[in-house]
Amino acid sequence: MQAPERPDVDADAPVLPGETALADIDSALLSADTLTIHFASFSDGRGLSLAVYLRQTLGFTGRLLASGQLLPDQHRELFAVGFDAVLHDGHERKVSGRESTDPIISCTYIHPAGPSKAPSVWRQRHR
Amino acid sequence: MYRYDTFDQQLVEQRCAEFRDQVARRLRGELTEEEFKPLRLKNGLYLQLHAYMLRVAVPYGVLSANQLHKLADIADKYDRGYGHFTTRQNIQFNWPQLVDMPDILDELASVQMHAIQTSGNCIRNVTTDPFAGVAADEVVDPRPVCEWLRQWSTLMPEFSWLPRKFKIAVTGSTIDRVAIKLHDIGIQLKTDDNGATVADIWVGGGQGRTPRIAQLLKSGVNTTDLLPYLDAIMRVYNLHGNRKKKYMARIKILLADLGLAEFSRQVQQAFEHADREIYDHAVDELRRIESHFAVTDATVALPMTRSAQPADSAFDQWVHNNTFAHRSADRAIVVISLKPAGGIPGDATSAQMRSVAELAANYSQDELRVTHRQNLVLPHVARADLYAVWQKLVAANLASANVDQASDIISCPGMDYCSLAKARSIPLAKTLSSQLSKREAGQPLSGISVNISGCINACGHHHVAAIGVLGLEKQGSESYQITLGGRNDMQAAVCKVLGPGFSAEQLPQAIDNLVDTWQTHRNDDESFADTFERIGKEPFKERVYASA
Repeated sequence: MQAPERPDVDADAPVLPGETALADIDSALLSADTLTIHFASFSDGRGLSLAVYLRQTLGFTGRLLASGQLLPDQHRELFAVGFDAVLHDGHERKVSGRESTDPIISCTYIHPAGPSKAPSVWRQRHR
Repeated sequence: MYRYDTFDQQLVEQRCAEFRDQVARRLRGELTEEEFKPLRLKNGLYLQLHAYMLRVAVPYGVLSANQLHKLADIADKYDRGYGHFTTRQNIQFNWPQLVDMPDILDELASVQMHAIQTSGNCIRNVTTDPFAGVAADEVVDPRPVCEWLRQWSTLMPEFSWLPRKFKIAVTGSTIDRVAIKLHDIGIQLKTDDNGATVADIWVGGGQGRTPRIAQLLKSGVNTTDLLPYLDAIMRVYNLHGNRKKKYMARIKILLADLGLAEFSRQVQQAFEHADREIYDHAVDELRRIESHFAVTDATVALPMTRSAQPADSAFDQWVHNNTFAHRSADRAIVVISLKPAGGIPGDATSAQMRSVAELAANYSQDELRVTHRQNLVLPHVARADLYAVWQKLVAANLASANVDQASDIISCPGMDYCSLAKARSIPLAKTLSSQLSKREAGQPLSGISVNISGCINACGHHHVAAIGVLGLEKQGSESYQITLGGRNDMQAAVCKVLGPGFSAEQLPQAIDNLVDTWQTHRNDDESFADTFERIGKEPFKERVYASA
């Protein structure tokens, strides 16, 4: 297991369940330095769209963390929709393509896929 | 057809490496089956009744000769010498070993193929008109948009863990050959008054245990807005689709719950807040893709003349039933039936695959297609070559002249393979195709379709067949319910149940009686669905149950 990168997670950071209805999001949360979205299950992708909504529609610019029983295989997806890190056993772990090495998939057609922020395929093709 | 550049190739190879790692972790016990299942499904790997099954993507049903040769090689090397073409234009191998899967994917990648998103709760392989780009009735060639959507949906992070699977179909014709109204999203491409391509978006169609015909969500979406608009639909579905009950999880249920007006309002709201920056280069990309599909009628062949061919009624019948109008008058679209009398619908041996690949290379500009009805297409055959092509198909046992006839049966694998099935489909399909082929030898049976599903999940598309057969379990025995009057064209309609079910032994006679009744009441060339709509089910019911 990779050593946690930031064991000093702010325990008081607000947590939004992935299933939170958009209408129930308190606008005061948007001024938080850090927000955590909790995934009830690794197979429940609502938190991914919730992250997009926070970033794109509500303009949240703070740090966004993911918690719950997520697979390392999902880190690429989490990064691409705007998460900065994953909480694992109470520790913050940098989002990467996989748990222990560089991401296998460096970018997809639309999105950068790893912390290297390699441009998407479409951006590389047409720059 | 579309050819990979280094970016496409790199992405597919990286996906292979990722899956190789996932398989290794599963084999070492580092991933539980619960964790591994969604990961393998996203690479087309099912665990069926007897073995793993690998579903290989044939993006929008387009294959090269070289790719079909590779599929034949995989069938021989890793499977049992055959493959099964599906209603969503893919191919399945029924007997691969898990340990071989990474190597199979590497072999596929070597010919620009993959199994990405052929299963799982994500956006599946986009399907389209098997006559795309060559149909005489076409308005817009849908293949560039399909390739664009393939790239857009591939490993799409936000939509990789949807409530349920998600299927998109595209047509660019006024004749629907891909059943757009039976998909989660159906797209009909048109041109506006300025000649620009625009899209009508249909949403909420589907089969399964709750069949629904799609509703028109928005007309005339331009290509600049198309991807952000699809994003908006997907986002509303991802956030609000039912995740508690699998059978309530498709977008058709959400649409029914919200109503079209509210669903449309939410989509529009999401669309207005969509991130347009990630699509800065989307239209440039579409233009780049379009260049791969430029018209290439490279050779000009002489039209076929009857005097040049020996008299052959079997050939004439094949030309009549299995060839279709090409946009070039000196060419024809050839459909190769994978429905021999008494055969398994959609199956092809490796030898047959190689024969078809050689025909594609020699007579069809190196290209072929897979159809929604589980057949293959040579899209570019010179009319002067039809006789030679037919002779080679005869030699390969692929010359059944029954396309769009009653014996052109769609069937799911049923209980011979599928762990969800309640009844066998394949033995029934074989019996019915033999029976119907005999009738067709005396009189063609066009305007009718027979589809068989082995359970309520409706993979055999019985809901939209003129005559549908649904396999059920009744008191421990297989029972088959008959449905009538379905159709999957632009006038798509869901079938109606005829009445009590039949045993496998009783069913062939019941089907015969239904065909007799249709022919008795049919006006001229009226289709079965039109006759059924006109006279209702009572005449059919009376005939079938009177003799049951």
